[in-house]
Amino acid sequence: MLAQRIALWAAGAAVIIALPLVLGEGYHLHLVIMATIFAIMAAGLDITVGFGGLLSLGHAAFFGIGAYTSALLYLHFGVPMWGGLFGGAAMAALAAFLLGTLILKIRGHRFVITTVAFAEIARLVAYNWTDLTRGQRGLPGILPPVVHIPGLGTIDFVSKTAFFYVTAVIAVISIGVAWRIAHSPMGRGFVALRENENLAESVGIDARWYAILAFTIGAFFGGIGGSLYAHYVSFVGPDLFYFSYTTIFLVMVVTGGKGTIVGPVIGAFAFTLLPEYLRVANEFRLVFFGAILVVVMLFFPNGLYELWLRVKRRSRPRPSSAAEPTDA
Amino acid sequence: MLEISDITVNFGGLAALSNVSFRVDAGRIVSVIGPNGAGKTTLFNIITGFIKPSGGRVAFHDADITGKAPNRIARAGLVRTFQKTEVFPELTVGECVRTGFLCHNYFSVAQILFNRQRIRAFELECAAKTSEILDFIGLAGKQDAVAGELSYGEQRLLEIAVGLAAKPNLILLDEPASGMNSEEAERIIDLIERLRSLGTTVLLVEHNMRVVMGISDEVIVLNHGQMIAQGPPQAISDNPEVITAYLGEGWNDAGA
Repeated sequence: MLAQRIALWAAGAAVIIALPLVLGEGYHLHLVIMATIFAIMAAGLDITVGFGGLLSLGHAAFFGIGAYTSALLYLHFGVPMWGGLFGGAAMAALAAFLLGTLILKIRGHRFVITTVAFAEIARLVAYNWTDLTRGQRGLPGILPPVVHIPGLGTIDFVSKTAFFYVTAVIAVISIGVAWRIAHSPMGRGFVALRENENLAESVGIDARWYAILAFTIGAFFGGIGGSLYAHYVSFVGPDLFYFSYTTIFLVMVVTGGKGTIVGPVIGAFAFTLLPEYLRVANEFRLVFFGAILVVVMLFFPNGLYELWLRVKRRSRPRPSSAAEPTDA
Repeated sequence: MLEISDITVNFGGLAALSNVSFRVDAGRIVSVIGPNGAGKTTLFNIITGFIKPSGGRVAFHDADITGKAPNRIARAGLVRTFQKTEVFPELTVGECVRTGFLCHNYFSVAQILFNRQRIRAFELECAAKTSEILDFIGLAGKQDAVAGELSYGEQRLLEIAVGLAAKPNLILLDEPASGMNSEEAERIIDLIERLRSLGTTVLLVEHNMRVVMGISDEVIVLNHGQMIAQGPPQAISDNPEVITAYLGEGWNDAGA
């Protein structure tokens, strides 16, 4: 079991190390970096939506808040990405915590609508507070970090290869943390909230507090994703708050397999790469994309992760217990 | 242990409960009976904080809990089950019960990430206690079954098991034997008696007279939101007012 786990980690590390070498510095690696950033976003959103059962339609707001916080810290105070990551995540989490404290007393439709409105308000702030954000023109020049190591020289993360490695490490840590939280007693509280709020309350689970936590933790990872994005693309604009980002994050979570953490990560890769590689179909590309979504949802209502589980089960000589591979 | 004083609640102009007062002493089994619409479930909802009363006071262990959030009341040691069975449908039986342990155990994100040992110890403890509770309830061996796929009677038992994981001093059971055949009802009687022998006080709403008369130390009768009688089961079943209001004719043939 331990040997198996070590082998799995080694294989994962090998894939991460090899990817840029195989793909080169071009467009393909760019897509993989975007997918990795989105994987953090999706894993975070899965805590809120998949575990907590809170349909947040404002995840783009935390993406944008993370990106802008990181950008402003860099441009005004010269804080490099490392600090920006913490700043962006903290800012996004703080926003979610305050919003959650205000509106999560009652969950359901009211929460859903408010998250949409919140993202839109955040977008309008970014658009109109021109002194700070330069409005529609956005903020350019947010550079990737440069690290000086005494005796070893300088590592510049401007190259896609270097930035990919950083992103991959941050993603592995983030997704690992999300997994840990999801498969902890706290995660069980989130699931209780999702499954039956009245019963949860009647056995002493503070539904409101757990809802605030699920929302805040999701936003925290959203902020990390936004911060990485800002330093990678080196530009932020009000478009980051668009509802279309929220939609794509949700598509990743749901079609990947909500409530599994791994599923949304798979979803992030599938639905970042797929639309791009469908470009061969020219103007039919979005039609194909839509059709693929419909097919996935029809045959795998629990997401792509279910497909992976089925394959795994079939490949085993004799199915042991049908337990999920959790280590908690 | 539990003291209800002058509880009144109005839904619109309708008085669902008016001036209901009684107390439940530790270690006893007390039943609330009454015809449909008498206000029994409303009373439970008030005691457990799901509904705020228009007037009156609920005290538990001498502390005022009137209108407090249900989760706080549960953490004070007062846990309920629901008339319409409530489980966590997509979870396994074991996972459902383990959720109940969250009542008195909260772990912060920092603890989850950096105090793995503490978490692991808690999970082991949960696993052991879960088996214990399921043995006690009579669902041993169903640990990995999906809650939503259990039979109705098993779901009712599971709901009590989840409640027990929250370690109540007083458990409120809302019609635990409803829809059960006589054999299953016997199991419920046995279970309630074993609960008491463990030191848990039980407040019961029940229509099944065999259950009520068989195990109650005391019976409270509600009719149209008013308390019309209170006393030991025998006195209640002999009370002419109760018989006309609730039990109707033929009760003596059907019951004891």
